[in-house]
Amino acid sequence: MPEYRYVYSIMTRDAPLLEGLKGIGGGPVEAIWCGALAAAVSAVAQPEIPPSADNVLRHEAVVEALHHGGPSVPVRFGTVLPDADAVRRSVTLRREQLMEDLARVGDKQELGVTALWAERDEGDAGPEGAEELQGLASGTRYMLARFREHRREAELRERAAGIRRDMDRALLPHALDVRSLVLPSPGIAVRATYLIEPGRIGRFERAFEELRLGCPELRMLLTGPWPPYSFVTPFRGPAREAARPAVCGSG
Amino acid sequence: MRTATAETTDVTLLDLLDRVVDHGVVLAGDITISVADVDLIYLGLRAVLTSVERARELDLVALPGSTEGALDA
Repeated sequence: MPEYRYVYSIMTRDAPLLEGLKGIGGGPVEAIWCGALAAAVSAVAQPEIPPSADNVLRHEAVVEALHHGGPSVPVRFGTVLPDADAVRRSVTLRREQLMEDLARVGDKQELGVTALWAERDEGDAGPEGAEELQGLASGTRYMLARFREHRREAELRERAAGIRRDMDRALLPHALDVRSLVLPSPGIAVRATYLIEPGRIGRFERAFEELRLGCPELRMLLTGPWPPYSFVTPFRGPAREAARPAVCGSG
Repeated sequence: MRTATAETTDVTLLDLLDRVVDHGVVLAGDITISVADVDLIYLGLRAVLTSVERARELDLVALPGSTEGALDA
C-alpha cells in the first residue's frame, strides 16, 4: 500500500518533537529535516484527506501540541505530499518565507473575535412596504425592491465598519496585528483575528469581555487561542515543484 | 463551561474548520478543499470557545480514536 506524508507544521531543526504524538490515521508524527528547518509529518495511506470532524481535530491537536513545544508555523489542513523528498523540495522552495514566518509569528497565538447582529434583519419591506409595492408595475416593483436591498446593505456595511473600529480600539492595544472582514455574511457584522503575545492573552480576554458587555446590540464570540494560522504569509499562486531535486541538509 | 453541549462543539468545529482549511502555510499549490454551505451558525450563542487543548480539559471535545487525545504516551 502506498504511503504519503501529511504535513502539520514547520519548525526549526532543533525543535522538540513530542514522543508519542499521533497523527491523522494514528501513525506517529515524525520530523523531516531540511537545512535549518523541519517539517512535522505522519504517514497516511491516501493522497487526499477529507475535512471530517475527526481529521480536523486531529490536525489541530498535533499542530497545537507542536506549537506548545516551541516556535512553529501551522500548515494548512489537507497538505499531503507523495514522500519525504517531496516534503524537502517543498520546504526548500519556500525556505526564506518559512524562516521569516517562524521568526515573526512562530511563538505567537491568535484569537478569533466574531460580532453577530443580535437581531437578524430579514430585509422584508414590511406590510406597509408590500402594500406600496402592490400598486406598481412589475418592473418598477422589481427596481424598487433592488434599490431597497442595496440601501439596506450599504447601511449594514456602514454599521459593521463602525463596529470594526470599536473592536480595534478596544482590542488592538493588547495585540500585535489584526485581520478582519466587515460583513462577511448578512448575519455577521465583523469577523476578526488578532495576533497576540501568549503573555498578553489574559489582558486581551478581559478587554474583550468589557467590549462584549458594552455592546448589547451584538452577540460577541471569542475563540482560541489558536496557532497563528491567519498570520503566515499568504499563498501567492500555484507552485508545482515536480521533479526538482532537493537542495538541503540530510534528514 | 463544564457542561458539553452539541451546540458549543459544533461552533468550535466550525471556527476551527475555517482556520485550518483556509489559512496556514501552503506547501502544495494544488490543494483545494471545498467545504460547502458551512455558514457560521453562531446565532444565539455567547460562548467563549477554546483551543482544542483547552476544550479537552473542559471535556468539550473528544478527540478521535482515543479518549486520551493526541498524546498517547
